[in-house]
Amino acid sequence: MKQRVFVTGIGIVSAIGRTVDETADSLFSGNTGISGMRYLDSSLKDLFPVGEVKYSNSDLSDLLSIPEAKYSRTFLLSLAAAREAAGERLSSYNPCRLGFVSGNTVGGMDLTEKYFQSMHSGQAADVTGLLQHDCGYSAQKIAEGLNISGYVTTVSTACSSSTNSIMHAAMLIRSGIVDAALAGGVDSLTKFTLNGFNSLKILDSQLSSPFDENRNGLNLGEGAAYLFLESEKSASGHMQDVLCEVKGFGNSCDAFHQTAMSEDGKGPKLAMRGALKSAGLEASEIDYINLHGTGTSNNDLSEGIAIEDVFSGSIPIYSSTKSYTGHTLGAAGAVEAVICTLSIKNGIIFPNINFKTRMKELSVDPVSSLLKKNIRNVMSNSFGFGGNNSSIIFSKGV
Amino acid sequence: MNLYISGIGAVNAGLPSENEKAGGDQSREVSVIRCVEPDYKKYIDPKFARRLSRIIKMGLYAAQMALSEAAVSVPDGIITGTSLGCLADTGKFLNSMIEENESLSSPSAFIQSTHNSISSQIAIATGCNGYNSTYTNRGFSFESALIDAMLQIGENNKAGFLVGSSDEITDELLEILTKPRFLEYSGYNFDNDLKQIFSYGEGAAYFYLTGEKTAGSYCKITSVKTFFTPNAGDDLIKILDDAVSFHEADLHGVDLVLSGGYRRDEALTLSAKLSGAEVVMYKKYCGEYLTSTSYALWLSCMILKHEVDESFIDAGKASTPGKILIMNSYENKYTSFVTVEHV
Repeated sequence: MKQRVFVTGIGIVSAIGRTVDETADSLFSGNTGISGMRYLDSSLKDLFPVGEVKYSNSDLSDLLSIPEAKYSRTFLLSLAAAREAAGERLSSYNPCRLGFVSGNTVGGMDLTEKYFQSMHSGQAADVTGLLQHDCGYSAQKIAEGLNISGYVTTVSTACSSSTNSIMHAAMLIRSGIVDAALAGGVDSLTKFTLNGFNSLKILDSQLSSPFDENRNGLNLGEGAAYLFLESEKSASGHMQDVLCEVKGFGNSCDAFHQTAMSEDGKGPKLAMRGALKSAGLEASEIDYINLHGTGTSNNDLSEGIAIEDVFSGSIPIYSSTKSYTGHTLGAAGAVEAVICTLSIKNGIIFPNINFKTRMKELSVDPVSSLLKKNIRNVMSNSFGFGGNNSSIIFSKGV
Repeated sequence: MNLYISGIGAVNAGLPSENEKAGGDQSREVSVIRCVEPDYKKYIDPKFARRLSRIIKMGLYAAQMALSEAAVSVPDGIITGTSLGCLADTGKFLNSMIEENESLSSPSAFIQSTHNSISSQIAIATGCNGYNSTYTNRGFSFESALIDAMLQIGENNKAGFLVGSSDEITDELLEILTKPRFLEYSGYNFDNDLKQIFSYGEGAAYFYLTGEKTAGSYCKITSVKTFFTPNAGDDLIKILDDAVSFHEADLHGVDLVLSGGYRRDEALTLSAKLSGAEVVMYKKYCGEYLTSTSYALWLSCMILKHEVDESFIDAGKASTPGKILIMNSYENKYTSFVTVEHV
């Protein structure tokens, strides 16, 4: 019998709030965090709205009481969410039995692009900033700061990075390598990613409208989120803290194209079916799907068709909360895992704001206003470039 | 649990006997050991290869070679470790973004810049829709991939996984690594007279791993352990001491250590702890890169398969090693032990 894995703590920072409480307030009041660019200094400033965390690096450093002007935004966001998820209890665990598993795509790219910019314009540039370039930097600093030494790693599977980090942590716990772990992910907005997505012509110049017939691309966002996961045994002394259970997960590769998804949704179908099988659930037992739902023509079609197929006859209600946060890339899976946890805890489905017209290929509309509902099992989808598709199922705790 | 190896493939600087710093570059302050470029056509369709960056080609070539030896066409899953990912395309995209003042037209460098593009291209080339993941965590990038393979195969012991790593040296990276202020911060520890064996390196290696012994299995990984010790300071001896004591059971019978260290006292500690096992500092053959454990694993397989001129180990010893410990350590924070032995 595999050990069950429970979520007993959550932490989040994104365009809609710096804490779990702020995030919940924004979700309940229907306020999107997507707006004009304020902190990222990009020539594309006036062209694309983004989901920025509403604090400068210096504000964030102050709030975290750490010395200013040295760290990448990626590290600062990651630290904020990791500390919140760890809460006050962390010191009561044996550090050697704790893990930290992060998901990330571009590491300290914000500092790297500043370095390259300075070099290009012949200004003095601090090469030591590049020591934060790799994705592992933030994980190292945070594990060090929180005194976590049992296991540390970082997953990088594009937009499904932090769903895979949660899966990996759950398996580490199930196998007994650690008793508990902080798992999630982070990405900060950078010119690199903004320009990358712009070169792919998949950024919406307006607020994005996922799963809408007239959708026109995605809004990039940024943020970090972590979940504190622990084995049933480890959680047994404080079951009142259990928010939900990591019930099952599936991972597959579309093996179709480096950036595009197959139109028949082969990879997404395999991921969702894999998650159901691993959770031991029937399709009809899923009460809500938190969509990957980026708002691009390709993703939403592929995901929608895959859902129609996997859940044929009993399609659950669904919504994309990227209409609030923007697409936070490597953090998206964890950001949405926290939102799913809030849905389960509060019995509320948060809507797909900006939805107007059903996609002609689909038979169901996404939820477009707050909906009260008792939720037993939630599926959260994360599909990334490279065909890295993952689905994870969270269930109401004991 | 054991992971049985029935196929290996690599792009690297070669075996110790071949490699007196193959492709070595002594023109800089720090030397570099580069890979011997293979004939990529052997395993990659040239039309497909043209679109791929070098780090992806290195990975894909090694992956296909491992599958070919294992006589498997589609693995059940693919896991890659890469510490720095696709640096050439990252640099290319960054430079053109800055030069063109953010008015780019071509996405190709961006598309190939993501860390997961190595695993992804292997999946596309082999038609593998199974499990696919990529780890990028400094000195544990490849080790995490191995541990994940143990977890995945542990829950499905019929599965066969392709697991490996790819990291490359680019001119841009080398320029940054050899800047004076950068070196001061990246604290490698070595005995002064062993400084000469320090080179930067690169390489790709993939392994076809199964949970059950197959007709083609020739060695097995018996344990993979990582020790994250951010606050241990400079004392690698103590880390090794603790690690060896903690994992004594895994280490029983080790007669060769491939060590990623640069200090004699570390080597002596390991040897003394392991009943006089021979210790070889392997990085003189592949250089320093954060996924070099995969080179040492490849070399271990070659030793256990008797495909190596063993004179580099110790000319005085007659018998071939039966169990090898790979010890790697990065900045005294990331220490790993992998044990591999004959089946």
